[in-house]
Amino acid sequence: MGHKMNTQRPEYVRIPSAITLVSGETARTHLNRLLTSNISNDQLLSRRHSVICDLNGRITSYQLHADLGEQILLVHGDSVSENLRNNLTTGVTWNENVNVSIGDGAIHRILVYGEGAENVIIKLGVNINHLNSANWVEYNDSMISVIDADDGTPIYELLVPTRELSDLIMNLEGFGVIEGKKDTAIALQSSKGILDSSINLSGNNPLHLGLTEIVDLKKGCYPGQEIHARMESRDAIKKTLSSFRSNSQLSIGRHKTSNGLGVQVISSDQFTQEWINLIVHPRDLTLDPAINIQIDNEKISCHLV
Amino acid sequence: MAIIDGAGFSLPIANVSERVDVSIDVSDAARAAVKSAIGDQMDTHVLIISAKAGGCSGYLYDMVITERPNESGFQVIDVDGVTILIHDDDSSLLNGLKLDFKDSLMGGGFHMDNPNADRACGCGQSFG
Repeated sequence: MGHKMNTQRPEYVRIPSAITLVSGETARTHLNRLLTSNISNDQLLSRRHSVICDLNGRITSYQLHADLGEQILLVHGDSVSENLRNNLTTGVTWNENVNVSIGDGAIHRILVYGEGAENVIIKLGVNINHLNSANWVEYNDSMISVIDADDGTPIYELLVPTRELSDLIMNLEGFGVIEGKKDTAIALQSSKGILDSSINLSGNNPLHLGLTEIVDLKKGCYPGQEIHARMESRDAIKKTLSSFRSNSQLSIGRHKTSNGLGVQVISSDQFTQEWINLIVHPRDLTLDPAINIQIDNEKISCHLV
Repeated sequence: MAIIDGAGFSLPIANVSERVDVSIDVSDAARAAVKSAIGDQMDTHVLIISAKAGGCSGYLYDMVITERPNESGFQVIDVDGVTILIHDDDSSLLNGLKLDFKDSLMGGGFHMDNPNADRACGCGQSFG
């Protein structure tokens, strides 16, 4: 990754998110059979991202987990709600106990980022030394974590019940935090190679998105596992995901580069005067840090972040 | 956890299961194999067939011989004295199932042919 990106002052943004709560004695076992990753050993307050795939190994939902012990809170984009909930509510056998509840609008996802964000979180009364991206920490009735603080530009993530939302925003604004744009928060994550949980990854193979750490080929069967195992064993993972910057927005979808290579734009979000784009491309393209993408009749230059 | 507790915090349940009247076909070999497995407990034990989420193709077959449970929510199918139960929640996935049994050292055991499956995985235990 190149230079660090950050806003000049702390900002907060509410990322529109759908919420699904999976509960019941066998909820973890049931969910674990569907995910590409192994959550059987996750602890209370674990934080992770996961995907569920179809039998062709393509993603049907991408979600962020907040492990509440006997309940697992899943935060995801609204566009995958139906797929995710259908997957979760079918295939529960007669002797299992799994409940799937809809929490849309009851819990909100807030990101706090930018220069001085760390001080704001301290002023809220949170011990930032307790924060890491693999866990949530309880903060009043909310939960807080941090996304990639390693490069000195942490993004704080909060899950906030509706009853606490206005107080939290009042506190943040009282500490000088201004409301930012969703694009900025997504672009900051994209520049670090992080896929925000609100991005729609449906139809993509997780191995082509570089999500190898959430595809566990040793956990046993899950939907799509045969495809992923074959790709891995035959060295057939020919694509990967990288972050590119450009001077104009790229439309989401499949495009060609000027030399005829197929690429796919997953997201394109504005940060100040440029756009940060997540693009799936042939793996060997990373040898060349610049590509020209043809959209309609226009060539748009993109450079690796 | 406090985030999902509190006064008035009640979330609607998502449920998409569809109930259909189940009909299944059990071969003579499969019936004999189930009878043999149940043994002299035919009056008290039943075979429950269900579809469990997971496996390479989306769902896994699950067969269990167990003491007759509370039949509420189950569809009861009698096959020559063998009682087979299929839960309403699994009915749309298992309707039309053909159950066979092959007595061979290689690839032996129960085999399912499911008209609701677009695809099955290599081992035949998962369908989708």
